Amino acid sequence: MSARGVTALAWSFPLPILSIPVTLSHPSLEKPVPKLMADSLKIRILVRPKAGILDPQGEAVRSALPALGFGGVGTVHVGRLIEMEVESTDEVDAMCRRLLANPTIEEYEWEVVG
Amino acid sequence: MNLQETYSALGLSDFEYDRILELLGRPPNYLELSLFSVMWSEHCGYKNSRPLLRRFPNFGPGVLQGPGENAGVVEVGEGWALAFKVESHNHPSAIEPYEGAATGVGGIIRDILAMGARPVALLDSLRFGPMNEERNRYLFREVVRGIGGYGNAVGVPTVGGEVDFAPAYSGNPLVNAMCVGLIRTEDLVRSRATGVGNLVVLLGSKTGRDGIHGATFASDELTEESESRRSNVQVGDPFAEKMLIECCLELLEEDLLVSLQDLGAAGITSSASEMAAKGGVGIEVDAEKVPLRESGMEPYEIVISESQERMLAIVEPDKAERVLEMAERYGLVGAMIGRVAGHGDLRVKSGGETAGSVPAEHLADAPVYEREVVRPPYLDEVQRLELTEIPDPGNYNEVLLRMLAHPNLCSRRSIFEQYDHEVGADTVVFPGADAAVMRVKGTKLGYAMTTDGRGRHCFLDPRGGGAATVAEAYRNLSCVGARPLAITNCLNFGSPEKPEGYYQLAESIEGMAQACESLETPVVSGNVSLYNETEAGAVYPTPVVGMVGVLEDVSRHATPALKREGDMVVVIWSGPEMTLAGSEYLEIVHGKVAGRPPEPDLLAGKKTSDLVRRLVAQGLVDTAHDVSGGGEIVALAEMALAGGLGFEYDEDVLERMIAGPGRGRADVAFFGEGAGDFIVAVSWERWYELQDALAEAPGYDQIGTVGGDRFKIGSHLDVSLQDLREAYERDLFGEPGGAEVAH
Amino acid sequence: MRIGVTVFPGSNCDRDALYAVERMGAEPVELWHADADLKGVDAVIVPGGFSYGDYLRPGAIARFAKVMAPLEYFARSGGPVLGVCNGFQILTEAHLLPGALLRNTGMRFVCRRVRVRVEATNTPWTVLCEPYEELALPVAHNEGNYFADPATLARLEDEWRVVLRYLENPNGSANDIAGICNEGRNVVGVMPHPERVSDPVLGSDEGLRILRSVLAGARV
Repeated sequence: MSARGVTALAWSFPLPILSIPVTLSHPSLEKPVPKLMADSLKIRILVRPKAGILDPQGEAVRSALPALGFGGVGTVHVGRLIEMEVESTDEVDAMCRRLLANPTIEEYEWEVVG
Repeated sequence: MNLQETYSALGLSDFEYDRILELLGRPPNYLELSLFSVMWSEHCGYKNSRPLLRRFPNFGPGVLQGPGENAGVVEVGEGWALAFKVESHNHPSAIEPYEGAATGVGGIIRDILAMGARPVALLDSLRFGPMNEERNRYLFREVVRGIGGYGNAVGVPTVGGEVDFAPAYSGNPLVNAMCVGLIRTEDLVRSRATGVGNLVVLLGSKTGRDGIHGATFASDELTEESESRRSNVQVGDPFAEKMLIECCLELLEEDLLVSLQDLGAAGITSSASEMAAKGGVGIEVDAEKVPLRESGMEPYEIVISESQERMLAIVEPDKAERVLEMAERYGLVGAMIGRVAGHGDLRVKSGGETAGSVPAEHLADAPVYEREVVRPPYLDEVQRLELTEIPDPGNYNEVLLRMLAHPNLCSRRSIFEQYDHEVGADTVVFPGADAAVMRVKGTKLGYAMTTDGRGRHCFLDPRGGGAATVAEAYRNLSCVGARPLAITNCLNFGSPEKPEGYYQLAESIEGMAQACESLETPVVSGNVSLYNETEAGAVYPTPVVGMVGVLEDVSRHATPALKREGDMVVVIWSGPEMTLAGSEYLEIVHGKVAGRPPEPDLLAGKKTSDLVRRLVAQGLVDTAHDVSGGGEIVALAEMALAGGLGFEYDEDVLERMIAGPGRGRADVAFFGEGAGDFIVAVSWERWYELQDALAEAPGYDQIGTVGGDRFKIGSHLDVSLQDLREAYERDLFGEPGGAEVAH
Repeated sequence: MRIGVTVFPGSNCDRDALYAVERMGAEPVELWHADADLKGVDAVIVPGGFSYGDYLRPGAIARFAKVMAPLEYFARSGGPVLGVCNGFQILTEAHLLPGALLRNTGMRFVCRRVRVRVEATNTPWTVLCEPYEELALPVAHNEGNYFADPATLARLEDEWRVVLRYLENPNGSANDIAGICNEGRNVVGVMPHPERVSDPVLGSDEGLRILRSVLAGARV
């Protein structure tokens, strides 16, 4: 972005505020504390179209890549990544079956990542 | 970073900082400085444009609210009124087009909601660089997706708009969104805070660091901490907005609110200080009471955050509980974050201490800059146009097909089909006509709306272009049968600090103001977006006009589509001569942006427009279109395509038309612009009636008849409808390399 | 006759449906998502929109709303239910109708009027239509591409459960399916919006033929 572009940034809506509180009086900056549940497990769930289901998003990506000069791309599938913190993994499968994935068109897998 | 660098980074000049010192009588702290920087910006304070904007007429019959509120309001009859406004989201859309456009739509909807009106229609005026550049195609595609993604989900139909492509917009697209709301006149609310002791309630989404630029991000040291503090691009949540609309409307219906204001630029601070300044009171906000989405936010971050989908309401204490219950019913955050105070300050508290305090009236009193208006030399150069240097293109079949296939003239179907234009079940005339028409349920009333911009014209002649922009909107409403009432505008210009930019701004405003006076359409709301420049230069000066009008009987409206075989097609003249100066033809076919289009004859144009409107409103004519970009032949082709019926131009009339004054050559007659002509069609049975009605027209000609499947213009041009359709109905998103990728 | 219209957070055709119910001469009843109560209505319309923002999958979250329990009971005991657009998506997520609605093959939201043919008139929502009658109805959706496995599709066809079929397929739907019904034929899901064409001033009231069918009190 050019210098003039930055000027435009300063005046067109919405007006971004550069907060650079160094020499002026204002409350001290404290490092943010990430909130985590006690004894929680982090799991990662991958939901994607079942094999053989038409996947127009994947198809669009597949056809866009060669246009950008990336060759040798075979099939592409676009899915959904869900991360959550749980106290136990007992019910993750049930969650996936009932809500997070639609078994008619999607399959899922999950793993504990932390 | 020293003091001067700090306030400069906030966009304040030395002069402005000194004035703050003077007003406060002490140095401001960072939070206070932030308040001034925002409230004195062009967006909130109009410091460069305020003296010029005074030129606009703001009042007229039926105007219930002029500028100064969240939106303007005009009465349409039977106790109904329209609240409407257009606003720019140019820069956010240049950075992140999907979210930039989406949050632009969300923001303008909340402006309408703040008046107490139910948002019922959206329109978008868009400008991009040419489609042969990948970046421009990307911006175009994502902006359209963003508008649809937000508008479709929030349930407000996108019923109209316009798009144009020109090199001047490369890297600096214009994304202007207009919203129209419907309200009973007695239900209007204002944003004035009143009643010391009343509570300030924040409704909507939680507050995060959206739109706040990271503390040390601008400095050269990038640490993990600074990275974690960096600003978030604002992301729109149309679901939350939908809940906010329903919640606020129900709160108003139950009479639970004193006043209402949306949160836009600079969040709580600007909204609260505006509400306080208008009510002549103070507001105290406790930053700790604001529900947060992120941890570790500083008070100044909380109060200037631009998190979307939030509204601020003033509530009487005994009604506060019910307001919070309603918020919960709609799954929204509702929090009492402050109160109305007698001291006149906007005061931010945190942890029991005052984090900043500024008199609200000072925030509302931005300095004003007036500059000299000097005609820039570029105008002499671009206004020169020798017709003899423009070769006759010969094959007019080819010329017409080429013009109809051009992105500036081709069908907008591939855009508007991505927008839900029917939700609400009120849309009578769909996108693709001269203006959108909607009905008011339970009445015969209808209202029409259009957005228009003429960037190229304003570049060639800022004053004439400004006037022509308003006149064009007036003509578009007249074509559908609506009586124009008032306008909103969005002034998209380059830097006012450059003589060229300031001249364009001042002159365009002058032209628009003259037109608004002549056409009796006051300006009731608006928005200014300056500094639209890149290294390559400024955008075309592009004032965009959003005009609304009323139809007494909505069943009597017209569209451009030819409707019946055998209909007589009539051109109604306005008076001025047509010209190739600044025309689409000149740019598309000859690659020239040049000439000085004649200044529109506003009074003659009004007379003809009003006549056309009466023909439609009387039920005599149901087919009407104005001759605009591309000239008469393109207008006729559009009518044939919309109706799926052929047309044949009468040979004798045609030769007379070509030989007409100021013409003498076929291309001027076919593709010339600026004459302000209209084309209407009428059945045989009503031909005599129409002739009677046209007695008061400056002039008219019966030019041909509807029928067949060919488009035939004498011996000059003969194309099948199928060929026309193939050229015109192109998919603007199907360009090479433009394959769509999910967002 | 009292006809309920469910209102989920993010529904945006609920008001249009309530208006259309009035137009067809019945009493509209709003059914709030958080109330497990159908208020004794005689038929239910699940309207379009973006319930819960279409987050996760269209209809996936709405399907667990409180109002859905009595609605499922009503549907399974033969009560007439019409799901329109997002309502159709909700009914498939709730397994009241088979299959699923995928993203349009064109990868774009599509809003236009399309021609459809009425393929089955023996449902409470089509009984007033002529067999194989052609209607022009508006569609407006991002996920209207009907999918079911081949066995289910074959069953739908064999049992004459395809209620509306596109004559010009706007979304890649299997077998050009625009609407289907359940085995009991009382639950119908359609992607086109009949409620949007319920008034001549809007250019057409062809949608009323579908909506008024339920007034005929048909039980098949």
